Amino acid sequence: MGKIGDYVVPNRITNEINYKVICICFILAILFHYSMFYLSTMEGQTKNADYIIDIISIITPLVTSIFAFVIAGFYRMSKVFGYAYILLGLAYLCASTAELIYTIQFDIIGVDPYPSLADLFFALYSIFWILHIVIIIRYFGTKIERQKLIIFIAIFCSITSSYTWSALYQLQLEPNFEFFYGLFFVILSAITLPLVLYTAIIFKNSALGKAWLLLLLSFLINVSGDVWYYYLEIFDKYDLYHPVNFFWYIGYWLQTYALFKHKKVT
Amino acid sequence: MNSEIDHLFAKYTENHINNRLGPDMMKKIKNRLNEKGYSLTQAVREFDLFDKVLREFFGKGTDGMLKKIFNEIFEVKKGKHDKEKIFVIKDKKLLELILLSYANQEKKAILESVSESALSISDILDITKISQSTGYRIISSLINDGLLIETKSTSENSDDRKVSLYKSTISLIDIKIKKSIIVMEVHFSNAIVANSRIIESILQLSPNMRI
Repeated sequence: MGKIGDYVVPNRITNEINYKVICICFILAILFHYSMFYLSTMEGQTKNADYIIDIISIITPLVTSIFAFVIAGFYRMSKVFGYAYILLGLAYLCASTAELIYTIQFDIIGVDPYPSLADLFFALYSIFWILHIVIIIRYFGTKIERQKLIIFIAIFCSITSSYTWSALYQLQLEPNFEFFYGLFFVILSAITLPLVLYTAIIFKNSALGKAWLLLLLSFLINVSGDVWYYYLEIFDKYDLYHPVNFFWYIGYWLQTYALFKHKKVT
Repeated sequence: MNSEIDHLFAKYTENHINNRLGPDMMKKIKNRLNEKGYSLTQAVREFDLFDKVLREFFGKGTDGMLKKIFNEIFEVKKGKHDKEKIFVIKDKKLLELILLSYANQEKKAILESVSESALSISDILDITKISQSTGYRIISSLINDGLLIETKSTSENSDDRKVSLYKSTISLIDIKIKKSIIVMEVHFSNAIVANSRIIESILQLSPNMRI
């Protein structure tokens, strides 16, 4: 520590993760998921539980989107962070729109929302996220070492192959339309995770590094949820009370906390 | 240790960072530098502290970031002779500054008078036949732009007082026009290049430019 007058100058800028917040996110997600499950089992309450889940599913990415746009506003129109956080805001706006379309189709119109227009917005969510990371990597990244590149490719292959083999095993090596449709989204998720990992490595041991570490954790959870969800959709086994939903709640909440940590640095 | 090239590029570096990271991020970096008792320009010139503070914010991302910034200001090429480095100026404002300075008759005369060896201000004014008031104003502007440098060595005048000697930062300029685009290649003296922390960092970040 240095000292200027009465002010003590810290040796390094700190941006520590509050692990209590992460624990609270996990506990809230578990409580919410199981309380909704319990509510749905009560007579005449299933629709109410559906509506609460729908509202939370729409609002959660919308809040994250607002956070991302606020951060983009702080960066104004700067060519790296400004553009990157506008894209991130758009990503979460797409996720929220997708949830809204999904809800309208499932609860109001009463049609099967998978596959549907909502999926286009879910795909856009991943694409905008990838673009967000690409802008940051293009500016802050240097040449990727061969070892790291092999690890990134291995992560991509393990995600896509875990989906492919588990699905093909159940389908007795006869893939249907849902399998290929789901594979497209799994590939998008599998591209995102190594990119987030690479960015977390770039910012390692820095004030921004903590925010990216949180994002990495959230993406690990989200991608696991995605792979599980698209696997379930092949066999039409998904519903609003399936434990896979827990993965998305916690994922979005941790991403919002990561954005908050990012804002604290900048 | 820093050289005058660092001074020349310091303010251009500041503009580029401001443009890429936005004013709020810039403010945070400046505040952190202020905590350590430095202004941004001072820190860019000293460079090590600037690099350290950027690493506090961006970690290893600082390498990529600095590479992008410097690549937008200039590119370092191998010269014909051993250890010779040629700087291709890419920043339009810097290019304009050098062109306008050498297009101005009085500035050109001053810079040419000190291109080979360092001289005191009175000697420069004697050689160039420029009036004292105009001469001091122009010399001050050239120092501020980083095109003229005060050397470490001093000579003693008739009153036994030490006087500063000045030298042109740029030793040679080669201007080409390729498809209506001006390409400016600048040579700095080896001593200036060797003392530049900014150039040392660029060469570390871009091994293919290492000579």
